[in-house]
Amino acid sequence: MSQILFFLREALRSLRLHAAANVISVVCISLALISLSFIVGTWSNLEHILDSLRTEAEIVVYLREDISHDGARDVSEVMASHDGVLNTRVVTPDETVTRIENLLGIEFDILDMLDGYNPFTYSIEVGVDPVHAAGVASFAAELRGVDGVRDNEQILEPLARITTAARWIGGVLTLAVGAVSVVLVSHIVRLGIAARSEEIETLRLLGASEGFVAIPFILEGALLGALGSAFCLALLTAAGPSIYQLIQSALPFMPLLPAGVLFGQLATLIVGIGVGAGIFGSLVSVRS
Amino acid sequence: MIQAVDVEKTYPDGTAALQGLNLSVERGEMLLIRGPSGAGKTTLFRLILGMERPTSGAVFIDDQRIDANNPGRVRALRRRVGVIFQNFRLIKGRTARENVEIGLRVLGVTGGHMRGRAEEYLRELDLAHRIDARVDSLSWGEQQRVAVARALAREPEIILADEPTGNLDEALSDRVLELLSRVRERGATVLVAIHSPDVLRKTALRVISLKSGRLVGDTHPPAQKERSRS
Repeated sequence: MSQILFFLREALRSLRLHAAANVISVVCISLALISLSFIVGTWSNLEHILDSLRTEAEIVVYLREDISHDGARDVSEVMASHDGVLNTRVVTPDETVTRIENLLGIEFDILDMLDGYNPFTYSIEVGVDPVHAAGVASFAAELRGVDGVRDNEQILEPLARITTAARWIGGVLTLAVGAVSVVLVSHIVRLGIAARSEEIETLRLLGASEGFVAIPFILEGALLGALGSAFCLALLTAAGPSIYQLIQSALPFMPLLPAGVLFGQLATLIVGIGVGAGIFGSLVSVRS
Repeated sequence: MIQAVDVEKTYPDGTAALQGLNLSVERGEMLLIRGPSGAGKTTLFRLILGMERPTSGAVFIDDQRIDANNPGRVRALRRRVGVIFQNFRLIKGRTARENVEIGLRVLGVTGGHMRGRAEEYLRELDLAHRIDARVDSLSWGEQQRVAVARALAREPEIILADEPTGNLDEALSDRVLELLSRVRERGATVLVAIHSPDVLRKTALRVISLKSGRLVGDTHPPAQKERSRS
């Protein structure tokens, strides 16, 4: 216990002794983390938007005239078990009529015009992942009882391409900025430790174990990372919500993530990367 | 206890720091090592501490070869040694007390025992009034005494002292040597690199002389000669 307190005191003392350099380190770490927050925030929102679009992508499977409600439900169940199908819904002929009437106007009555005959058949609305839309459409077309498929190819294909490209670009960008942040934070911590290489050497010459030498520096790196994270979080808390609100009002048609959810995710990431990179930087420095 | 066998040490720039050194120091012996700057005194200490490897030959402590490539063994050895470095190697920004305490803490001595021992040796070296002063604010001579206190407080089996009296007046030099002698009386083996003619003139200890990395003299005091003959 006394050793743990000693290590903690050593780490705190070192932060105090090299206050000026550490303040600069904390500011630099914060800036790196803010850049990372910006990229990750953008990426999370892009994913969210694409998710929203994905859930709205659908194909429609039209069934033959002789297919009853039970038959439609069977086809719907077969469709639901196929890869890339998110949900299915059976649409009755009556519902189709109602929809068309709603579309054409309140006073319009199709069945009156057709002397009570409903020409529509059962259909199934199939929510699909755009990437799998073509496969699902081909599968549906082969099923017994299916008369035709509207696959929305013109919309779903570009959406699939955009989804895939955006996922790759966003992922690579987030990884790159994440890696740069880790390297930057750990390098800042390393610089501080390198300046004290003589002290480390002296401890080793006194017979100190590697743990004895390393633990205060690791704690110091973790504290530096935590302080950088805290500073970054303070800045985000102060300015983030107003900036996010501005973006939300400028893009009212975009389904952006709720501010609470986004900032919660970012806080976890910032603290994790800040402290993790601080520890990583200290470990690498002390070992070298 | 300490043995150097055919030790050669040549640095990458071609400087031959030690050449064909053969030396044996018994447990509980106090040995003075004299020689001008560059004679190889510090290099010998660095080899004993496992800070460097000999180019050829070997150094042994208790028949165990010191191998700088075996960090565990070197660390275990260093914990048995108290070193007074020529440049003191004090930790800046810390007080005199903290510098002595850290030497004890790495050995696992903590709490009141650690504080008591640190104070005892600092007082012994006339540093009672500077005990809580940061070492950066101490004079050269005071820093040297902190370095001596750090080495002695560890109550080691071996003391390596590289010019421990170099910056001290005669009275303090005598005090340091007296402390080293007391450590030796407790059974420690003490190697002291020294160039003070005064100390060397009045010593009754074994003195070896190094010149350009070679052992050029090994003078045993009469009492020890008697002992080694018997």
